[in-house]
Amino acid sequence: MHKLTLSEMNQLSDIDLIHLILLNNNSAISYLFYNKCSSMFNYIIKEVFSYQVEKDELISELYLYLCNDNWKKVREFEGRSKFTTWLSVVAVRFFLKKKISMIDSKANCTPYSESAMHIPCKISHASMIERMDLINAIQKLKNGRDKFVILSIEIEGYEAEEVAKQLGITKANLYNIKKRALNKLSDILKDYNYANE
Amino acid sequence: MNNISDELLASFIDGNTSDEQTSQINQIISADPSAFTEFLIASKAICFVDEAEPIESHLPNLGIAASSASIVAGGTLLASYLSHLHDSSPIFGSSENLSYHADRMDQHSHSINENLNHPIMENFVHYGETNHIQQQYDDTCAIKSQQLILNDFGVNVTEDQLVHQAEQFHIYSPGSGTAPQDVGKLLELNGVHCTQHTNATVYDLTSALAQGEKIIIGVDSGELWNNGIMSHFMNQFTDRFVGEQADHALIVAGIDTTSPDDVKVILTDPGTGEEAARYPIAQFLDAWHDSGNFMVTTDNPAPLAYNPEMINFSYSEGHIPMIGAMPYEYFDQHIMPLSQELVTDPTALGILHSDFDGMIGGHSSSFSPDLLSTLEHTPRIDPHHYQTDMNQFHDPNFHQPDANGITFGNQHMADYYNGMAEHHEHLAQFDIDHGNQISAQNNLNYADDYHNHAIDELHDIDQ
Repeated sequence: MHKLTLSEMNQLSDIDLIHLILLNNNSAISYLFYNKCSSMFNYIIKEVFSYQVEKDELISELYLYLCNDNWKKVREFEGRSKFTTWLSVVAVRFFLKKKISMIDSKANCTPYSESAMHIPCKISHASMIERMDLINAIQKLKNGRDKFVILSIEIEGYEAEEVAKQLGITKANLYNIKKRALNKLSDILKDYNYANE
Repeated sequence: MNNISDELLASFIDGNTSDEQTSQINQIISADPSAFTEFLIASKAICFVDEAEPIESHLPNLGIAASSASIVAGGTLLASYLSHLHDSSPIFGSSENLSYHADRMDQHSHSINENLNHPIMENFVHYGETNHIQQQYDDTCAIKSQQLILNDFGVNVTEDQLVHQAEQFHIYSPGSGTAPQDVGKLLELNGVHCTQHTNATVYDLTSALAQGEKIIIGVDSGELWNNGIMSHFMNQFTDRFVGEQADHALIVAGIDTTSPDDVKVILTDPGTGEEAARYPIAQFLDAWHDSGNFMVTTDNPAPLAYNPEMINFSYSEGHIPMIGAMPYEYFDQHIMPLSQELVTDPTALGILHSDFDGMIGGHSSSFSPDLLSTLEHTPRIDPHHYQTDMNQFHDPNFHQPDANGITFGNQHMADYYNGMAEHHEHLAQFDIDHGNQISAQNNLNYADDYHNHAIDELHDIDQ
């Protein structure tokens, strides 16, 4: 099998990519971890761990987890979502679990419950029904950046500057995205009778 | 860990769960902080997946980069072109340069027609997937189209920078899109001069492509996308239609006459992210018509430095040698003037466009006789523009039969056709002298066609 170029990799469908990974194709594996999902894994690690960690080491551990027993975990993927979405869920859960185990072994780390384990303050006072509607509406936002901005600013309460930095865009552009995302969210929430709220 | 499986949570984030599953997952997420955290981080993380497609992607079966304005015939690249910009394109690298560009705006805005009165061009986006063609926002089709063209002219600018610039100059506002009269202003602001056209024809489009110009047009995206292979994308787009009006801007990349009976227009569409979407010409014309056949053309061809596929463009002549099966000179000198005359007659427009396939495909060398016969009813635009003396068609005696039943019009048409045949025989001889056998054969074919047209005119009289 020839070494696939980055261009060829970019053209692969999820099924083709998984197929190559299951065949232990080094190009495909490198592409997945160092190109396609590198930023995603870095982001997840940054969100999960509130202190300095060895990102490469953690990503290597994730790789070992995924490829263990002839890629058993990857073989569980049923294709009901994008492969990368599935991978993000798997990675989030893996790193959260990893963090808890690290806390258990190193008591000097910041407890995880201090940040992400709590419902963010902006919606902590909302009723259960309101939370459900809000999550439902956010989940219906199709644009990844819209979703990111709303979750970060409106739910988690991050400063716009910080979110803009994370996305690598200007603050002005972030406000554009936010404005449009809120409009979309508002349209969706109208269905839940939140039109005037 | 909660009891939502990896598969189910991922499906939920992608919006692929059933109503019942959605409700169940939602309940868990809303009540369980750890589940909410997982949902939150994973939902945000997918924003960082690198979905970018390679810049060097190529058009299948055409062998040319689709972003180039090209005309293809017989499966062979006929058009790749270059001319130097006589104005160097400034690099728009940062917002600090905006004051400088503000001056340019005032200086060059004269080439933009400010009197257009079209609805706002908005656009839909295929959410969730990005590539270097796809617009990032749902109403930046015109901005993205201009960005792609600016990049082709060596202006290194991003969509976000242009959005920012457009907002500063009040030619775009989030949620409203870009008004047609403002399409092209970002090109001007960044040093690429352009001209707006309304009521353009496919001949104008072809002429611009043949001269290596970059083209943005307005279309009704519904007519374009909601037909054929693109229909499955439709429910992923936000529908913001305003009646039958145009709502989308995109780039015309070329016309493919590989199959003369099935001419396709190649579009670079920021809405779908396709670099080279190919549409049947009839479908394209319907979609384009709703914008009042609006288009913006650059005043110069895209430079070779940023468009290597234009290596074969005849930059000394400023155009490609052939348009489909037709020599450029013939198209420019005979077809274009006639098309501009004919376009003013609304009843002729349909035939005008249907004649296009035949001419570009090499089946005919002029407009159908039915269409030419409408010329006497057609208001004139610019008589001085024509290479042929069209005034003869407006002679009041044009259709009055003489004693032998021969109308002045018939005789003149026959004379005209014979003159054209002779012209092509000369061109054929010129081609033979210069060793261009293919072009010579084409010209001889045109000459034959014209002789036949002339015979038909006189034959009609006999009958």
